[in-house]
Amino acid sequence: MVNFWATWCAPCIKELPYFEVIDQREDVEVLLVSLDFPKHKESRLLPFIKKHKLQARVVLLDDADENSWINDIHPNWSGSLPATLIYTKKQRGFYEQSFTASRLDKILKLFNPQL
Amino acid sequence: MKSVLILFSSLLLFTENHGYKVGDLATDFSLPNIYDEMVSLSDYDDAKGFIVIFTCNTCPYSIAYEDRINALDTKYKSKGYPVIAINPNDPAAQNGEELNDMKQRAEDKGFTFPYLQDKGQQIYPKYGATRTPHVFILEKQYKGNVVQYIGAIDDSSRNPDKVQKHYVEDAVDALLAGQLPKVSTTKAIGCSIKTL
Repeated sequence: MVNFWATWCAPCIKELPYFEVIDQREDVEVLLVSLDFPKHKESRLLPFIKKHKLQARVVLLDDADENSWINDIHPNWSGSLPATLIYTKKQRGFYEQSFTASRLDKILKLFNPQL
Repeated sequence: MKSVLILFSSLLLFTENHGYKVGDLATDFSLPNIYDEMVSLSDYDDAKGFIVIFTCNTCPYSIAYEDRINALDTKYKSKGYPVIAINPNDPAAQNGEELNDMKQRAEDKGFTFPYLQDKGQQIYPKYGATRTPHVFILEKQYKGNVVQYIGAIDDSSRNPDKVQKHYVEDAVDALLAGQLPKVSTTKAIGCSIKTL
């Protein structure tokens, strides 16, 4: 489960705890991809991770050429945050929206890691 | 099995966007500017087209583009393609997006272009804007304002020093030369449009 977020994005911050809960599961791996400004890595992103004690893995996507990689992540993604990609070996779903905890659980049930 | 697969794919596709595609006619509007005066595309008799940009006060990606939007307006207004900025956010859903806040921001940054509020949020869904900033370049033709470009301002939102492709400038230059833009749709990261 790959969540695209940023420290300044209010709806992203609201749903982060739900992804942290899912990260505790053994059958799902969560990756939090930050789209913070690279120049704010030390001043905002790292302090945020520390302050909120984020457990899931966080990476900073600092490739400037967004037009090339947004479509690679999913053709339906307009580029708006937050956005979430969920995939197994054979299933792939993309969600340009914010989640509630229960909605995220429901969506996750559509994915069968055995497939 | 097939129907199960179809059902599954339709579940995955429910967030797909609607709105204008390149070639569609764009609706005009009547929206308040920062002085609470109504502005429409039809007010611009001499325009050859418009650079319509959905943008806002609070999104860091929008803020990062403010100087570049001013530069676009300065460069292209005299050539017949003024910038028209529209704030699509519902001020009840996001602090700092009231008309007063917009006025303050426009004055602080010396906006050279009209900064309108999508009051009632009727216009951005028609265009299909999904984020701020989100650009729609319209070319004025006899049949109306034709959408000729949808997408990003350039290829480096977070760092103006690393811009290599000036999508909007290239598209307007092409239109001014009587050609269609070579690149007519692009994508960029932006903030979701805030609604209640």
